[in-house]
Amino acid sequence: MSKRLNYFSLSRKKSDFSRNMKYAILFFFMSVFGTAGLAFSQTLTVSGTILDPDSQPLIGATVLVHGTTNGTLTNVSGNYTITNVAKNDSLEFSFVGMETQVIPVNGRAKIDVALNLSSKVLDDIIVVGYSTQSKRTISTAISAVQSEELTRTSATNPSAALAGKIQGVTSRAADGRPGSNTNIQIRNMGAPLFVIDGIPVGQGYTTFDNMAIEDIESITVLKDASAAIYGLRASNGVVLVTTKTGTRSDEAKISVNGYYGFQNFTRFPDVVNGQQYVLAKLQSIQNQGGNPNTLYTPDQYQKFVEGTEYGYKSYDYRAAVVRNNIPQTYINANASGGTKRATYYLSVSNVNQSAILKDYSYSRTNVQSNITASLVKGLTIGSKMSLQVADTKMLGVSGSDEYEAPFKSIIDGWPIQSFYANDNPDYVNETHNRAYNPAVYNRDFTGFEDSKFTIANLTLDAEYNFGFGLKAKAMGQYMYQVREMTNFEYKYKTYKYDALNDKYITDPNWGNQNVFLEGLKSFAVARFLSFQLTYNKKLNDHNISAVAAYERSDRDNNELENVSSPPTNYIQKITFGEMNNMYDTWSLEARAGFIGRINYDYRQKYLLEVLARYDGSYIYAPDKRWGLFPAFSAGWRVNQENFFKNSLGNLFSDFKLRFSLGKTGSESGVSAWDYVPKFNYSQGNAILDGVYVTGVSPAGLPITNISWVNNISTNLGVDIGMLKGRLNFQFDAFQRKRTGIPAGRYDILLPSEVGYSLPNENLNSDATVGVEGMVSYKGEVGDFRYSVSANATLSRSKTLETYKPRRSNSWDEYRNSSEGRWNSTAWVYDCIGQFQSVEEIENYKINNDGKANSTMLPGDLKYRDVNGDGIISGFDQVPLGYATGSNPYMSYALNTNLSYKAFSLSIDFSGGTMQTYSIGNQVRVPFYSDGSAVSYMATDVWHQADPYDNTSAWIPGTYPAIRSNDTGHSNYQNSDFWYINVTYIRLKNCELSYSLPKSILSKLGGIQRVRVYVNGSNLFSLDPLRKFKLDPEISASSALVYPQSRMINTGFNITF
Amino acid sequence: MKKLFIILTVILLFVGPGCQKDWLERESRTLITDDKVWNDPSLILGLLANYYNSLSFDESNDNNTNMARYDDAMWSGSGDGTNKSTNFGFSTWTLWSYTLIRNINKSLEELEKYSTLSPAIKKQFSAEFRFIRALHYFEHVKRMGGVPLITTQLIYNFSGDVTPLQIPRAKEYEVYDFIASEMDAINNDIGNVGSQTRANKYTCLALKCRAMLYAGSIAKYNSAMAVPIATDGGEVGIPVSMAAGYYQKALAAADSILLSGNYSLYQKNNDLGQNFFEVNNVKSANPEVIFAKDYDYSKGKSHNFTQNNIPYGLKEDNISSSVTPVLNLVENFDYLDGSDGALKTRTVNNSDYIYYNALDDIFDNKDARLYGTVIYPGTKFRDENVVIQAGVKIWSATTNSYTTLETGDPGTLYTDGGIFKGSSGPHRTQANVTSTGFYIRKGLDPTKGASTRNVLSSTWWVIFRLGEVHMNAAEAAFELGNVPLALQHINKLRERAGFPANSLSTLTMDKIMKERRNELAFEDHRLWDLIRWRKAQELWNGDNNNPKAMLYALYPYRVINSSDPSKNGKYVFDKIKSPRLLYARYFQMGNYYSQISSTVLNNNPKIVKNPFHTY
Repeated sequence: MSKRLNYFSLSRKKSDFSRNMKYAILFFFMSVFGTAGLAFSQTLTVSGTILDPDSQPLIGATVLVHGTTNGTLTNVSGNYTITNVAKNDSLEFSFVGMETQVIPVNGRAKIDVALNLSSKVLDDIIVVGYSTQSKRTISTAISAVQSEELTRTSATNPSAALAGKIQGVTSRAADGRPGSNTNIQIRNMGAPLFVIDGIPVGQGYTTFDNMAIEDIESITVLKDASAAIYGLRASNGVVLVTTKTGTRSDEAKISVNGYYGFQNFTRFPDVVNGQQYVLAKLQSIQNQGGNPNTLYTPDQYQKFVEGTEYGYKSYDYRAAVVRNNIPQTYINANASGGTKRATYYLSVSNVNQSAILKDYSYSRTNVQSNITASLVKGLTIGSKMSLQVADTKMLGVSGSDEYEAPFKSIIDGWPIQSFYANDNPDYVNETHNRAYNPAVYNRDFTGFEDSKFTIANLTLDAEYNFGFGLKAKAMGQYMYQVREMTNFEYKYKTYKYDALNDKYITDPNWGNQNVFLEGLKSFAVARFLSFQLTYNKKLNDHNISAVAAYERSDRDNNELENVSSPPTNYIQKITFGEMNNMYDTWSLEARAGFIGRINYDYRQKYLLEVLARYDGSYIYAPDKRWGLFPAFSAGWRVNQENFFKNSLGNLFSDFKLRFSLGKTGSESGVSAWDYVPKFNYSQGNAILDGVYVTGVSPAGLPITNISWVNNISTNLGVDIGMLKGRLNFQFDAFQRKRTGIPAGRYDILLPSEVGYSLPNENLNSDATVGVEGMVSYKGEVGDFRYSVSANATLSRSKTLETYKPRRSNSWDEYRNSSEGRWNSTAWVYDCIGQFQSVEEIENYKINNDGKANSTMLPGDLKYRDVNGDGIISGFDQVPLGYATGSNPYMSYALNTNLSYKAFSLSIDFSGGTMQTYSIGNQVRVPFYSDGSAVSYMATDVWHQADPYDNTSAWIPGTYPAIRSNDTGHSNYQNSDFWYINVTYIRLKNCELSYSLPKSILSKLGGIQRVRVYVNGSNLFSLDPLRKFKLDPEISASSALVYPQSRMINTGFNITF
Repeated sequence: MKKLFIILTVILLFVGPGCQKDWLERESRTLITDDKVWNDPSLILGLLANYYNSLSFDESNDNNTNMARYDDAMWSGSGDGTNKSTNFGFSTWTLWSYTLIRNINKSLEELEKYSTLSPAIKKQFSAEFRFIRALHYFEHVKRMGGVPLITTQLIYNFSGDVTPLQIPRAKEYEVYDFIASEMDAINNDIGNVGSQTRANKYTCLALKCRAMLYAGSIAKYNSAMAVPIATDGGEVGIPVSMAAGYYQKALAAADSILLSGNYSLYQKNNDLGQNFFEVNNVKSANPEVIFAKDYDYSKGKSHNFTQNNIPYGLKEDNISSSVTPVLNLVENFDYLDGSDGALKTRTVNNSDYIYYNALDDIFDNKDARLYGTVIYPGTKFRDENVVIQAGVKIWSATTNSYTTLETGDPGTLYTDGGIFKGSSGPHRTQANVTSTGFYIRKGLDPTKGASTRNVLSSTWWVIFRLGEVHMNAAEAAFELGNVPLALQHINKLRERAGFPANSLSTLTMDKIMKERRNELAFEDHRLWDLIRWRKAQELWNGDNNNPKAMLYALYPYRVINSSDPSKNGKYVFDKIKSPRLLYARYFQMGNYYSQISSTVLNNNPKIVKNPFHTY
């Protein structure tokens, strides 16, 4: 005992110091808000100790006078002292993860409490848009995920962190380049509306994805009619993001988090080496009936086999481009806390990811500051400020996409061509396509494309609590967003080696001869303002809450792009004289809406919600601008009924039936000012008599008859809790029916000769239908705690009606009709095998290639003659695949948490099925576009034993005999040989952590938590694309895309 | 009191910026409303700029792929371009573009209705609008035959009844007549005399001249076919009786231009080959060009013809050498002594090669227009050598034969230190290197940097020039039986190409066709000429062994023959089928008039389809 006291006396100094610091910080913020006067009037002082279930003192637990904001926190010994307590008050004791207790004071001066673990951790109250709501009383399909689940990832952006966490949210990481987003959708309905701290920021992923994951307190997803409260832009569901705030009367808490990890590609195909390349080229000539000797003689081929002489060596393009074990780092520090009259959360984070390609990287810094203060009784004001600065660095390689070029070089580069002339690194070789020579991929050599994306937000809000359940709130935001990009492609020389004279020769026409400098600056200003009233009242068994709000926003986008050709690589400045082009673009958006919602429940048994939004958009003609988007939902908590309690009450802790129906809108098929008769400026141009004249063009007919697409969402759901809340089910069936999708009214056939077309009208309809579910179980055996959660979503859309479909014949209807059919079906040939011999081809009755099988060789693909006409043609294509670019129609995930004492293990699997990948271009056709070939496509092929001997035997392989770059050949047509239906499951995340036990922490004085972990992401995947060495989530059919990375990192969290 | 004050301040803070009248009513910064256009001549000029820019042609500097589609050139760029087409699709030349017609009709009506500009200015703008409309109709009629002639806005009243808007196709000759009468009606109002980029009186006459020649030859040669191509309503096919009238109008229009004295043939450079190249390329004080589409890199309007077609060895960027002329065209140019243009590569008894000292010796004394049109081996462009050599032929005394070596990259040396493969090819397979042994010169911009992506080329695209007017006059005169007049015109052009005075004394239609091909190669004439002469299906019959339908290349080699110094180091030539061309050109009867799309047919039941088409 004495030892313990000693220890405290030692540590006191330290914690005094840190406490003083914290008070100093708090005082600063309080004085900023001009709240110096604090009034106290003594009545009674209560003190005591709060312990956890293990009888250890709880540090930082909250003690509040029930129903007031008067409160305090426990100190390091778990002790508290609270003043200003009336004798008949109650005290409320709470701590994160514990069940809150309310104890009447009854005049006592000392109250000790032991808190129990809460079965409902944190997710009790969730953000639902314009207010919060208890999960128990929610009657719509809303899911939420809390910060702890999000931060358990090596993802750099929130969308990737969200993938797999919630049923109904589907995702596809089609591009893994640093800084790229994961395409998340709600129920496969399209890009959702993102709302950050109550402010709709649009359907773009940018703002959301540039947030720091650590700063997010919770993410709520509105999946059904509940989204209608966001009206005209809510058709694809809404993602509500809430950032962290401090807790009033909380002790200052400072956290530092970080990790360091290594990345490698999950998969990328291998390419041929020099000898394989030459052999495949020779085979191609043989297969196409040519003479391989015109390419290389057998002697020359032998030299390629040996590969020692310059000119006959083999070069590994992949190894030259792709690096291994590339670092990614992350660091965050945040401070949060509060006083009786103010709260604060301040956070700074930085994530830094080098790409697996050299000289490509991504780095982002986030600053978030959320502060509230009470000015006078009932009036609280607050500010949220955030700054997001993302830096992307790339090489300046000529071509459409800077990231694509290095990947293209792997498959496009001829392995018999050296990177450097005579392998001398002073002389970059003039290869057949210099943009795809890995030797140029060097920032100092080829130039760079760097961009900086900055988003600054300032939000101010004020809330007045009238004290009888009514609150009024106003909020305003000013957002400023800047993107600066410089693309500087250097000029450089390339060389060839003249072996005869041992000289390096160059030519003015080799290399990159001109400098390309592009500067882009875009800036956007978004403004937002809202006023809101909320009312909560409990009258006996009736609970009523209501919201009324008005909000409006606008956004002004400007972009200026300049292109020039400076004379040298050293001048990174655009001058007027050297400018080649200048683009100036501008656009505007403006919106406003009135919002109302009423929730009612009777003893939390019967739940009813009615809401509506009257929403307006600038994009429509003045008389078509405003629309009403209503929704209602109802719920019945059957387990609250006595008959249920009496019979099944022990088994079911929760049993809720939910139904919702509502309407949302979406802007489609129209752009700003389409409703005005007008001329467009800067449409074409001409040099007339030596003078440049900007073109003016009459626009088409004004569009005044179109309005938004109407979306009717229906949802039927059930929530079941069993085994005292350990086992939970959630299951939903849903439909979103869209009517009024813009289409042409083509029974009014305007002659083409009128020279204009009728504007689209709201005519077509479709539906997205599906089911989703989640099951979770958590339990504990002694010190071993575990939770398992699985979720799955199946969602697919079909066309319901098109406007008066007309089909010229039954085949046209079969092939082209969309009515009543699932959307995005892939029509391909049905490959029924491969020719096994020359004889089989000669005796084959079906004209497989449209050329009487004259182009067929053993190993070539045979297609099913579906219509039996003896010739394979477009009529024989059948629906065999799903969409190739969209999110998988079915997604699933399995999330597991295991902990034993201080150890904890999390394993997250996620996957998808019903998606199709089309193996195309570079990975389908050998030597596509005069490039090289992936190895399996060039080596595991049907071929003749000797490329120089047309009588030599055929040797079977997996893939058809090579025809170099012959994209038109029947083998390379779309068939299920190349269209792969992908079902995959991947270990998305696996984390093992160790937290220092309290017994050690308590010796460290002031440190509340120390946790270290090892985390691995994308460790493996089971899927049919493994044999092609392709990542299952990519969608680019040529595979020229940055695949997902496998990453191992080690990190820590410290809180003090 | 203090509390109330604070609350009021906070309320004002938020409500203050919230006051704005109608939040959703916004002004655009980039749109012009109707009323602002018609009283502002600079905006009307903007409309004209848009309309001039909208004109499209089959072959042009910004659509060079089509130059490689016929029998003057093939495709050596990346991809297969036109090399793998087994035939021409019936929609290859389909044009049914009424948006421009509607925009012009709308402009004509609204200018009249809303503008308060002076009548003279309105008249001049109207005339210019009508010229563009007529040229656009000409582009239609030569592809489609008769099309609906729409000269006013067709306005749909949303009643559901569209029959008043359904206009049938005009007869083919009605469209030609419309062009003629429009040109007659406007050529005194249009002004712009001296301009080469806006239409003037002579531009109108040049259009009329060409259109009338087309109409005349269709009347004559279509009727001469075994089974003339025609529809019952005359939408396609012109009665033979009308031929002479059209030829007379063509000749008269040509005469008006020639007699005006406003234009003359370009003869400024004593180097006749270079002079012919300059006919299309020189923009300043060029007396021959009547009408052209102009470009100016400094103002951001440039085209990539030079980038696409610069010889491989001279390229400044990643692309080059797309349209490469073929031997067929090169041999169409006669020798200046009047002998046939076939290149002499073998001895008379075909026992051996003919050995040339220099690569260009084989082209000596050719029609100077060859130099101005084609870059052939041994010549320069941009004052740089274009080295075209396929490989080496090594003589083996033991086998008494040559071994041909040509595999390797362009620009490599052979073990003897001499050139192995020219820096500009040719190469049988490599994209962006000629596979025919030739490069296009006509239209190529010699300015340094013109083949780079950033700068591109500012050369103009000539639509009408006096050389064509001479050719038109010659043909019209010949068809009208006035051979001396025809010879006068043709010999004038031949003289400029280096032939002696009066080099031709007799004339046949075949000779006119040959001259026209030489004079106007790559100027969007070859296809249309063969169509109006009804020659296309005969020449391009899809037979891989037909020398007129198949395309050929010329591959030069350096001879290495240590045993015979008289041959060693000299050059020999192989004529081969173009390696990258798989199929001979195949023009079918259904190509004479292009297919009208099913959408157009569905939208207007009064439109009849063209012959030989399933719909």
